[in-house]
Amino acid sequence: MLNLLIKDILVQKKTFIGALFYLVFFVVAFQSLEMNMFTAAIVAFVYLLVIGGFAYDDKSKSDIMLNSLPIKRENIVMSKYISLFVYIAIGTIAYIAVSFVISLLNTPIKTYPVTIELIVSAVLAVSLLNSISFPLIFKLGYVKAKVFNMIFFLTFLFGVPLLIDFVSKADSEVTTAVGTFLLNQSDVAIASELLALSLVFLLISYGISVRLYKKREF
Amino acid sequence: MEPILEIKNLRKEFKDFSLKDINLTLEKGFIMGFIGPNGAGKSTTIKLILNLMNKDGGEIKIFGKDNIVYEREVKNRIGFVLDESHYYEEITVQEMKSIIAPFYERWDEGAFKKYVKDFGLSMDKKIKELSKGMKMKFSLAIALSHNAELLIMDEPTSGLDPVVRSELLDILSDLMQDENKGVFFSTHITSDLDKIADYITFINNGEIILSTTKDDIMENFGLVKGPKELIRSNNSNGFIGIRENQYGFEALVQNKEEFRKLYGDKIVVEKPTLEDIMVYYTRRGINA
Repeated sequence: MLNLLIKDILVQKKTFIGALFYLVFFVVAFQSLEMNMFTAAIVAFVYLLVIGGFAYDDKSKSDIMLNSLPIKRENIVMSKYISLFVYIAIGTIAYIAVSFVISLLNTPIKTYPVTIELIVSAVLAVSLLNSISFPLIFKLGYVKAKVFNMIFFLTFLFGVPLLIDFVSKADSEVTTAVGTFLLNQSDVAIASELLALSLVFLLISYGISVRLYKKREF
Repeated sequence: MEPILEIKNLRKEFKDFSLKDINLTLEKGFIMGFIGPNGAGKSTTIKLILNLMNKDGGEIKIFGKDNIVYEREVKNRIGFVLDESHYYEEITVQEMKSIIAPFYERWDEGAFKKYVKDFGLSMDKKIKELSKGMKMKFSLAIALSHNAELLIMDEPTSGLDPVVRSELLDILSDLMQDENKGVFFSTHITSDLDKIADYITFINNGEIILSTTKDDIMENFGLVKGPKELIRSNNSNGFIGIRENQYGFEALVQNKEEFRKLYGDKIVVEKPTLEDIMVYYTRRGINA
């Protein structure tokens, strides 16, 4: 399984450099997001690498090669899910490094420290986004799933702020109840709940992906 | 002793094509050539053996074990060379090897190094910089470096020059010194098999037409040539496929001795090549 993770990184040496520039771009261009730029930057960074990995698999039709090796299909699927966390970790380190370098340059560009809350929200966003897009890619392959994923990614990008806006304006009993529920808890509790929620999403998605990938023909 | 590869009543349906009850058996120590025209079902059969496709019926046993129930164990003991390279183009031969090697329980680095040297592969080159022949050799080096007992090859020679093809055939002959191994080799370049195959399985339009030893084919099949009157009186009985021209006819027959007895020196009987067999069987629908 470790090999499969290493494989995704090896084939994407160039994508990594691109993704790094993307991070710099994010920090500079999304100043208005203030500290939340981290979440946005990580979501984009991970998306770029995950999609890049799938694209390389598809380009060289290597699903055929991998599935002719003594590998369980579950492991191929699992490695992609684990890679999300590897990319979050790499992205976070890169983000901190980029922010540090920018702060040294004495420019008007503001940088913000990475907090635990931000990392949790990045994990949640990445999990949510990819939990939905992965099963489709495992069923159809990257190229065929591309259009759906593009639509989905854009919906996610613009839909989430709209949703938050909607929820914050709606004054229903449910939202108040959820609000009170969250307010009454410690940060640690909220963070663990959100992480647990991410994990639930990923597990359900993994289950579906495995089923679809096992049925897939090459 | 269990056959190294056994396929029983294998079925696979597609919209416009189906594999119909494929049966074949390959014993240890032999090379089976799997021949047929393009689109006959060769690659589909191989994909089913490697569990890259889901079968609709039947049974595939490798080393006597179900290919899906014992998938990992079976795949550890199989080497495969596919018709095109499915390796990542962007990375080097060395990197690709180090990704693949750990998946095999019985990886033999020494053997791999030897093949790399014999084949003249350069480890620092990117896969995309390799020629088609070199890519095939890299596949072959991987396939031969984990103590595989069964080698499955899907059109490994297609698109290769005669020199590389003949090298491949030499390597396979060498390999068969070990009588515990078996090779299942699909191709439409039948001349490759004239040299090395022990068994020939011929598939056409999703059906196995013939699965027997090459010697059986060479001893019993004949290419009969004679005057046209013969076909009229014979009513084409016993002819597998006929080709007529203005001087006479040529036909493939399964029992050449019978024809010899029947027509004596009115006909000439020649040894068919595998290509003749494939061509005449495929023509049957048209001429019979």
